[in-house]
Amino acid sequence: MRIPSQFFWYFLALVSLVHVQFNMANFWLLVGASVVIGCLPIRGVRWWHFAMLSLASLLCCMALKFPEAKTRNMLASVSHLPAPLLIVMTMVVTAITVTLTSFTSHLLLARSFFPPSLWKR
Amino acid sequence: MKKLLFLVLTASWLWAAQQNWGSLPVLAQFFTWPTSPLKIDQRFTLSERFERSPYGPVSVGYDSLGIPYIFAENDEAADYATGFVHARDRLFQMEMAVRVVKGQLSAVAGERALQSDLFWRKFQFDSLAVIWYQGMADSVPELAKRMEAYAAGVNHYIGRLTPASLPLEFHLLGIQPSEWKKENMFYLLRFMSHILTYNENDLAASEVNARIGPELSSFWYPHTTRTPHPIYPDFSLTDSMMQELIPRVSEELDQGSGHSYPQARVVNLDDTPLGSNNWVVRGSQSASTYPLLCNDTHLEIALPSTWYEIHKSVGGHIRRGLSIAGSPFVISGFNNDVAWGMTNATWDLVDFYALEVNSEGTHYKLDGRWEPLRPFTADIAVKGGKPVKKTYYSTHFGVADTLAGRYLAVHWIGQHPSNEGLTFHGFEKARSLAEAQAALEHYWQPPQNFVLADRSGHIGGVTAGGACLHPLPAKGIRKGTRRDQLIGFTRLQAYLNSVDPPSDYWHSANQEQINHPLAAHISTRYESSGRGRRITDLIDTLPPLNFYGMRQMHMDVVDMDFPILRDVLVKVSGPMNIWFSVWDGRMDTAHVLPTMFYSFKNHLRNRVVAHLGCGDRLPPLEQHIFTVLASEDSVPIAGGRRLASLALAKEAWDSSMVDLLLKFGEDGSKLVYGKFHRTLIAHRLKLPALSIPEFASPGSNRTVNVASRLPSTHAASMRTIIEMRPEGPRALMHLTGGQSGRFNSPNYSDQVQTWLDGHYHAFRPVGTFKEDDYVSTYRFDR
Repeated sequence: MRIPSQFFWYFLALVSLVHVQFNMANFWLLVGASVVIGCLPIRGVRWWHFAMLSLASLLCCMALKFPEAKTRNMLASVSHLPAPLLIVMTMVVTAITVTLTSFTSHLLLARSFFPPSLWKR
Repeated sequence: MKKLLFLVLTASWLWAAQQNWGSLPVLAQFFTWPTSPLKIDQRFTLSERFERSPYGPVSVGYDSLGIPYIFAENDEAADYATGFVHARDRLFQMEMAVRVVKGQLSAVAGERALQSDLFWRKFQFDSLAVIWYQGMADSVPELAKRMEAYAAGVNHYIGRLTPASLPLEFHLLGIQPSEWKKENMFYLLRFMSHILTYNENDLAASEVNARIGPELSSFWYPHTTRTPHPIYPDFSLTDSMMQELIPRVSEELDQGSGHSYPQARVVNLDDTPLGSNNWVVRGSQSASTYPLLCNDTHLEIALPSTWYEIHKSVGGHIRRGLSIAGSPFVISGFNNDVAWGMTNATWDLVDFYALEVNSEGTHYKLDGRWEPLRPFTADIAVKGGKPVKKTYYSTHFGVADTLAGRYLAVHWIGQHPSNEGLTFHGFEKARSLAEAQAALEHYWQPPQNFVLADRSGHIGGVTAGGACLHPLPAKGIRKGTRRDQLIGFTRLQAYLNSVDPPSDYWHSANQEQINHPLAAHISTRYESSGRGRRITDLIDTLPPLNFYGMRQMHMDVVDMDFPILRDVLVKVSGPMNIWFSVWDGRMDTAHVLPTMFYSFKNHLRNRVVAHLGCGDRLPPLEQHIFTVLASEDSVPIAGGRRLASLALAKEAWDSSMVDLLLKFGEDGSKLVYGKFHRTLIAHRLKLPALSIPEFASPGSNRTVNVASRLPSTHAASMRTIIEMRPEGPRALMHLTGGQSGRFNSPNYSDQVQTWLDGHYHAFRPVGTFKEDDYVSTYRFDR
């Protein structure tokens, strides 16, 4: 069975993002993963595609393990932010990081890495 | 153009994510999902795990208080598991202790930690620890193997950390745990030695001497205590032996320098009781006819606690008690045959030497010749700031630094190579009091009064460690112009010990060890003997002692300054005198008199300081102030005048009452001690959310159940009561705070209330590992 290429690359990007965010505790690994995702040969990609990807990956992460109440409350006290705002802020900062890095790497690097045949419909 | 715009935008964002914005934590550390502490969960504490150990099978079971019970067939396997459980519960505390001593704190905490790094880097422990470890590996390979196994256990745990199990503090600082090195125990030892022995009181003393002159200085800062209550009352030493002990050198103080050292780390034991209590009674004094040994160490009460309770069974031989995360040993506790505990000896172990340096700052004068100052530079990384370079100088007298424009060399026992691990290794294996005593022969620092008991019924005490015996028993900066002026350290355990004393009990509470002229040469600033006196009174007056009696002693809150000041108070306290004449000095939270007395004591000290003009950083010892005011009609003050003692006391009483009135108003009920005397148990990073809010607590700086100044942050950090029966030990113990350093653990602060109420948990003799006995378990197989 032939895998639809667009779906495959989006799925790969999503899985990679979920893996990095869920299992790794390093900001620069997230940046690195975003650079790689930006280089994937996805046709006609727009910046908000990456934004949606990152939000989807965050939702997957939270579905796998939603922050514990005790942890949420403690962090809210430490950071002086309400717990819901803390979660939203974390999602927004993560999404901005992924979106900007992926889209920039897509603009600058993507076509240098994959052969032109992959970009054709 | 679009590419360039996005490139600039992305670079700017990545830069911005690394910066601090207002009071917010760094975005990249705190607000991105991979690094977010929102991932932290506590499931890891509850599940059963199977791990691999290179040292043989080990089983670990945690009880409901989070105390690990380790069952192993050999020392190394037990140490491997000890490293693992220490890391599991206290990894951040361990990381910080090592970073502090290595002088690498600024790299993670920024500029606020720079002073700490500047202090530590001059000692170069970073390279010394490796040399010391190598020396230990060559001389005591058995011990080196234990260190190696312990480090492997810590690293095993670090290796399996996930974002969810990384402690919160690492997330907050944005760092990862460092690999645990075999030599790290030496950092821990220096860390403890610093807490218990390091101060820069000599710098402050130099200022005080210059301000008040030699006559006032000798009256208010005497070299010996007027009312001694020594730990070894029967101590004697012939003149010839004393002459052998004290080096024959003519020492000189650096007089009248007039320099000021506002940054000096002055430790006033009246404010911060960094001491402890311990006592032991023989079977003849106990209800059960078996020896009873007690210990409570007075340290900063913080979260996580200094201590970590542990139970190890190695081939059926138990070692139980309080350990310090970072070291595999039980520091205060017992094995099947011997029990031990300690209190700080409070000796003066830091000297400052003023060097005579040439105008180019390249050489210093030594024995009439110019010797080179050998410079070395420390490069200190500072998070969020520029790296700092600092030059120090190696000299004959120790590391020299420029303070107040002068070259001062510091000589501290912490620089002395030593291996206290050998002592605790010996304790764990000791089968009798004599063997435990032999283990103390290796001990150097921090000097401690060790209490011992064994199951054959022997009891004893040994004061072990290096003392700096100065021919000139005076405080201040010393002149460093001749080689022989550098006074080394002498171990005194051969002189200061007592086995099966005639009184049938032995105790120590940081007071002077001896009532002998030698005491002045060891230290001139012992803690008050009040607690020691009270312990003697209680042992003498309580009925035959049992666990309940021992608990009563631990929790005793009678202020021993009160008997000294009672008559004075009765005379100056106006209408309150009737109450003070019948009060027993008990510092209970529900009464008003403790508040008045506590406040009066503070004001009395402050009035003396004001009249003396000595500054409030290093005031005379409170016990001395109170004793002279109670026993002499008048006392000398600045300007060559004398002031009537009662007039001074009245002045203090009046100002104290005005102070209380202003603070609490006219409503007398607000003066109850519980509203005045509060205890704060703060998180070590001073994060309010991770700290225990202030609460009412009894006691004072002069009660057996000790508390420091307001709010109280130093108190009994653990308590043990151990009975040595022929069939094996029985024990009660607790620590302040909880076993776990993780905020989301049920054992983070579960022992705070029991500590306050004086409730202990009992040691449960366990033979073999049974999984059902524990809340959670780990199994290590080869």
